[in-house]
Amino acid sequence: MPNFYAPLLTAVFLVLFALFDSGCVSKNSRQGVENTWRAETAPTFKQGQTTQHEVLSALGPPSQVINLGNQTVFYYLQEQKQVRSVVLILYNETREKITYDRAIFFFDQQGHLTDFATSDEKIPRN
Amino acid sequence: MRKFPAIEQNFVLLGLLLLTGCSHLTSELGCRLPAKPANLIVGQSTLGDVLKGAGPPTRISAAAGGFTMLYEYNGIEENQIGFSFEAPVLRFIKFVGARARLEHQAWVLTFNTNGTLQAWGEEHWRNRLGAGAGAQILVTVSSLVDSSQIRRPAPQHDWGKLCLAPLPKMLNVGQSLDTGSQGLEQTLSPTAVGQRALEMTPEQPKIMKKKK
Repeated sequence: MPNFYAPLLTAVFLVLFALFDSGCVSKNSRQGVENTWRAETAPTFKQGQTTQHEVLSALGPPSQVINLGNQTVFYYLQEQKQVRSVVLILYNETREKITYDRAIFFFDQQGHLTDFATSDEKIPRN
Repeated sequence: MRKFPAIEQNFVLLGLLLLTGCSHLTSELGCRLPAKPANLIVGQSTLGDVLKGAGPPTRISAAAGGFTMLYEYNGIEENQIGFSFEAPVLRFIKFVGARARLEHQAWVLTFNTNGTLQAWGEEHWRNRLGAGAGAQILVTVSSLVDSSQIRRPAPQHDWGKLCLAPLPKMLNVGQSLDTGSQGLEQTLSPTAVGQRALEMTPEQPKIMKKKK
């Protein structure tokens, strides 16, 4: 390689190095339905009494509606991806955490709630 | 204490001087599953008992004579060792070798139409996921082991879009394992077997250049 290229390349890399030198990265993204079941004013659901209409009115459309034959399932999911990264050139650390906030509702053929649950994993509401 | 010969010491020092860009990358998908609740008994426990103890499943699907639920956790840990050389241009590039391990936990539970627990299976293992090597710009930190299949978004997000999938995937949506009506699969299942084979993952459309 000709000698005159070396200083130019070094300069380019120095600029890149200065731009991307050691630092921290934090990324956060969410996907899915609003986790209204975590709201402070979230409605209370009662087995045998709450209807499909009440659940849909309170939480909106679910991520998935599943036909189990004699039961219908409303499956709500919000997914959060958090990435924390430390770039120290000599040593780098990246941690990615994906959290799934779920709620599931089972209804009988009359549209009454038979079982429901929310996950222990929680995503704080904005 | 054993003394290293001079030549070994030199190699260690040289290694330490060249060592740069070492990285530790971790991904956790969900929470670790707890120990199997002792009060859940096959043939006696109900859907309500399971939901109370374990919460909503990762996936749920209809099955012959009832339904089935899958709980899953995956954790990836990747370690990278990088070297760079004191030479023009090369000093800004690191040569990296990477190894990744996967911790996997899964429960599969089946219920009859009355919601009584019929079967329970679980697995928990930690194994090598893969390895990779590459040359990167010094400040780059990215995974060198392909774990895209594990880290893909949950299928529930795409439930409504299944009928818009390209052919032949759309034609086989009736047999899809993502709809919740035809069974389910673990995240790690390969796509070239079983019902997925019908989908024959189509080629990515080529971007057409505009004619002037």
